[in-house]
Amino acid sequence: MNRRSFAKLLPAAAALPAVACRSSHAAAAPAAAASPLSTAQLAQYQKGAPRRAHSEAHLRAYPLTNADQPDFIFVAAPEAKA
Amino acid sequence: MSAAAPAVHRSALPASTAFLSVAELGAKLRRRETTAEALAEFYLERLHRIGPKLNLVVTVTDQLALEQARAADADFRRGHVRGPLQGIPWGAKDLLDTAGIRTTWGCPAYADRVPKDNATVVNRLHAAGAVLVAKLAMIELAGAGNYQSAAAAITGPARNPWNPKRWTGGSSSGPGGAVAAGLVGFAIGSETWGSIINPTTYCGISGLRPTYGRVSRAGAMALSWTMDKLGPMARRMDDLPLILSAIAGADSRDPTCLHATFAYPGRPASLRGFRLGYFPADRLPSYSPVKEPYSRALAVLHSLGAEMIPTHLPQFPYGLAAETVLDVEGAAAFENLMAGPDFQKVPDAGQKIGLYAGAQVKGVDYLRAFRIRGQAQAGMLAYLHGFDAIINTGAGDIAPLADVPFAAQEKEYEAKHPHRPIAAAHGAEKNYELSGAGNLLGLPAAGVSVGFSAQHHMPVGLEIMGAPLAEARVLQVAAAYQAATPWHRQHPNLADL
Repeated sequence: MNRRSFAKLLPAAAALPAVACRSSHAAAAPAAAASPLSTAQLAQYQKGAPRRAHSEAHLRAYPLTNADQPDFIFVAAPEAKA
Repeated sequence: MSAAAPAVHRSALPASTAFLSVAELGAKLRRRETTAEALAEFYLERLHRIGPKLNLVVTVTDQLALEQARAADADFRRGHVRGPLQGIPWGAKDLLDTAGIRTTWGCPAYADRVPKDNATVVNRLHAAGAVLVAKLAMIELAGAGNYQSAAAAITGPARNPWNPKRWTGGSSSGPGGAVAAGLVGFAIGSETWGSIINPTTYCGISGLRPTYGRVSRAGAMALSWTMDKLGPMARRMDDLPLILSAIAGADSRDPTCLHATFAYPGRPASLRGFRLGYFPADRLPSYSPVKEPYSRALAVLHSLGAEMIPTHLPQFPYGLAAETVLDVEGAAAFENLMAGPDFQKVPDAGQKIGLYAGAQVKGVDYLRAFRIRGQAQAGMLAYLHGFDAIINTGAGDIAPLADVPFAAQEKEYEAKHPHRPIAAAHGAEKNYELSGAGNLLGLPAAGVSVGFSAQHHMPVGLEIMGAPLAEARVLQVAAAYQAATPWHRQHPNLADL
């Protein structure tokens, strides 16, 4: 499935909770020399930065505490884990 | 093993053989009404003649198929029946390793890749006596980086047997199209996010995305180590338990594989006693091509005796977490490709950009997605205790055009529907929520055809999702629905190809 089509399904930017969007891959400008992309592809990558920032901000808005640890070995059926 | 030129001739079997189910083909073999070799020749001829016209096939495995078919016939003659798949021709998505047969992952960068060993799934189907007739087309790298058009495949855009101007869906494009076109008895596809259910519904067939860990992925291309699943695609729901039984189970080559048995009690006569949660059809906009068939399907399930309960999933950012996990794991899986000159052989710019973007995600964001995943899993497991299955539309629309970039089609769609309802904009229209949740959490789902769109007459499907390891329950719902409806008995007219 093409996931790009899902981008427009996100709530509008105005509906975002006030979360500081620390710049990671969302807004950072990559150095052309370190990238395997062509100049045109890098430009397209940059064009997608707002969408990625939008997604990241939503994910970062989800409340987690220090106790919420990741499950490093994901198992869909926890009862089968043992 | 592959043959450049067809070595087979038109078979004497009737053309209707192409669309028989696995169970029907198996019955003919066991009654000695035909032979595995005759069946193999029949499907090989169709693969050579029709496959290239629809861009559904990477490699036809003539020599191996005929060897396996003759071995199956010898077993039949000795009275040795290995099981219901003995002598049945099947096709593998071209991300399953096959010893000595090239396995391209759908991408020119791997055009000459020839593995030494078989994937576990391939070995299990060989042991079951099934006959491998083809390696089937797929979106390159299973869509690792977010492709921009159906042409992102080494074989070109996979054309839908119901209308070759339209796409089969992806990334299991070849399995979906080849099953619908009667080029194989069944196929094995893979799903990381939508890649079995999507082509299943676009092509009007039956498909199963098993629970994450139910089927070994040893020898299968990795896209996302914590989301990839392999599953069967066929013309009848009743065939899927037969195939899953042959391929499921623990495997020392895949440590994520669960020690869990699969048992199917059979298709129920009614759905009395089944509690089905469903996304109401009124969440879909009036212009949705799937709304009317979906509404009718819900009514059929109700008429079969199921208790129908309108519902919505527990609120978690399933889709965003799934995107993060998939993007990062995809970038890691193809790190070597990105670092080398073969990266330029990936033809779809969107794939390259997407893989690159995945490599830029911070570690804390990937872990955040995993932490959310743990909470979402707990919430979902509690929620699913109340249901036998959850119902929604499959792909949520009909197959897009095969020769027009997706962005251009989306732009045209937006222009036609500038005032889309909120529900549509939040994912009901495209099944984003159920598909995102199911794949993030590794939940099983069946795809089943529920009719055709009024405009364009293209297949429309249903997704039926259940709790982890509840494949049998999900398949029972889908099989009961299918037995009560005529859609699986309709097949595309390929005479004009």
